[in-house]
Amino acid sequence: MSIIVSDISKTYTIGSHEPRSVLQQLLSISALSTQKRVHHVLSDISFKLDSGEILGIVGNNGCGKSTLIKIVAGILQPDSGRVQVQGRVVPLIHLDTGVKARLTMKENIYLAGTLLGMTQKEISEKFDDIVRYSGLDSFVHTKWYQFSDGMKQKVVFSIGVHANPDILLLDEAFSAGDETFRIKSIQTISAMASRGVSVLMVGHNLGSMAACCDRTMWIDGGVIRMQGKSVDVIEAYKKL
Amino acid sequence: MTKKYLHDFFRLGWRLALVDFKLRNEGSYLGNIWYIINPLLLFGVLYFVFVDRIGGEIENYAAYLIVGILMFNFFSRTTLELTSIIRESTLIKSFAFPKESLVLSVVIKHLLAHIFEAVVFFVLLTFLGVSFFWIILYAAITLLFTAFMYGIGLVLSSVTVYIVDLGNVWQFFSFLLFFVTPVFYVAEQGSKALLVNQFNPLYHFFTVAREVIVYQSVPPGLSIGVVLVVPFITILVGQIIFNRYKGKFAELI
Repeated sequence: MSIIVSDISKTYTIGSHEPRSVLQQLLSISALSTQKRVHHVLSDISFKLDSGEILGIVGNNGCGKSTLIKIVAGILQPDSGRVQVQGRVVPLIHLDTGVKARLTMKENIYLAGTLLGMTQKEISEKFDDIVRYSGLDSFVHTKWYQFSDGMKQKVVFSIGVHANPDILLLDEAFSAGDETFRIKSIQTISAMASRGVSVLMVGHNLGSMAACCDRTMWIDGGVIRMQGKSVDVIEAYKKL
Repeated sequence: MTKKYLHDFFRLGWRLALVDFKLRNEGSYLGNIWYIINPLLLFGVLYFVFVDRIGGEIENYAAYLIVGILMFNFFSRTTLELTSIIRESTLIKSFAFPKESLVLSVVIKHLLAHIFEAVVFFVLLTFLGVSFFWIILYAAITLLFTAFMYGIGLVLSSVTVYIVDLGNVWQFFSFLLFFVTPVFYVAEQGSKALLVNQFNPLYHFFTVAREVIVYQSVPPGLSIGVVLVVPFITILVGQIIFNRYKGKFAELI
């Protein structure tokens, strides 16, 4: 088993722990202190993911999908419950994951690769493959801020799949790329899964999710509303 | 901390420091020369204002001033950036990694800049009659001074996530510290300045550096003790505070 998530819950206290100025800190001692509101993002979520399995997570904005994937990645901590992961986790959470706008694509591949746990030797060995996979060979020395969102996604995805993950976590992996790259990405994910890589993916592109995922979990209001075969869950979700 | 955690901590700290060092002066006409222009100008102004006043009573005042300015600049630049490093980091929301490496990267970046300016200033010191052998000892003092700043950085970087204004407060505090710490003057025996500075770690670092480099004499025992012990205590306390708060960083920034 690659991932075991047991009864995790997460709440955000809205309006109380935001960064505040010294003046606000002083005022908070008085009656003007900020009102606290507890927002339950996730409640008692449990699931398991086997090696080589692809699990999709669907749900409306703010339902807790991204929070869940960040908890699995170890970026956020759950308030209660337990997450067990086995192997190297590669999270591709943001379009600008581990990159700097003023660096070139080449420099960013080295930086993001390091952040994803690759050694310099590994990155050097795989550099040509990463560039070739992204299809952006002629932009290797171009600054990152000159890239479109689609180009950024190609590079970041390419780095991620070359980072030897045992567990790949994808948040909106198909939001910006073109159709050709989307199909290529789905094929790559399936091929990686057949080699034993576990994939947990969050997204709104239901067609891609249905094509890619063995199982899908529908989260609604922080709880699992339905999980099972992707086609069934996505069909039910669409009807909402 | 596991072996892998420490390995990632150093590896990321180094990589991020190199990237930021490269980016800092990118597109600038004078590039890394900026690292020495500021301290050089400050040295020029302070030297010509004070050389005939308080400087007249201080042996080798130019060398005394250079060591003070070099070390104070290093401290103020590094710690000021540390008040915003966590708050402005997007990496924390995207990866699970040793967050202390962000603090380390700032310290290393400024250490690299410090080495650059120190080399230039030490050439100047040799012209002022300071032996190169004693200058080499500055490396050991710098190492301990850097460790001290890293410890301070662990505290500043975590507290600033909760109190945004800390950067402004720290900027004012640094300004105050410039006058409290004998950068361009001497804290005379029996003076209030000397009494206050007994509790100021910067004073002890400056004293040890000046006694060794400028005057080639053995520093006071108290200062040696502070320089050897305080960095480790600061790191220990800093790590405890950082550990207490780091779990919430990704939620709060």
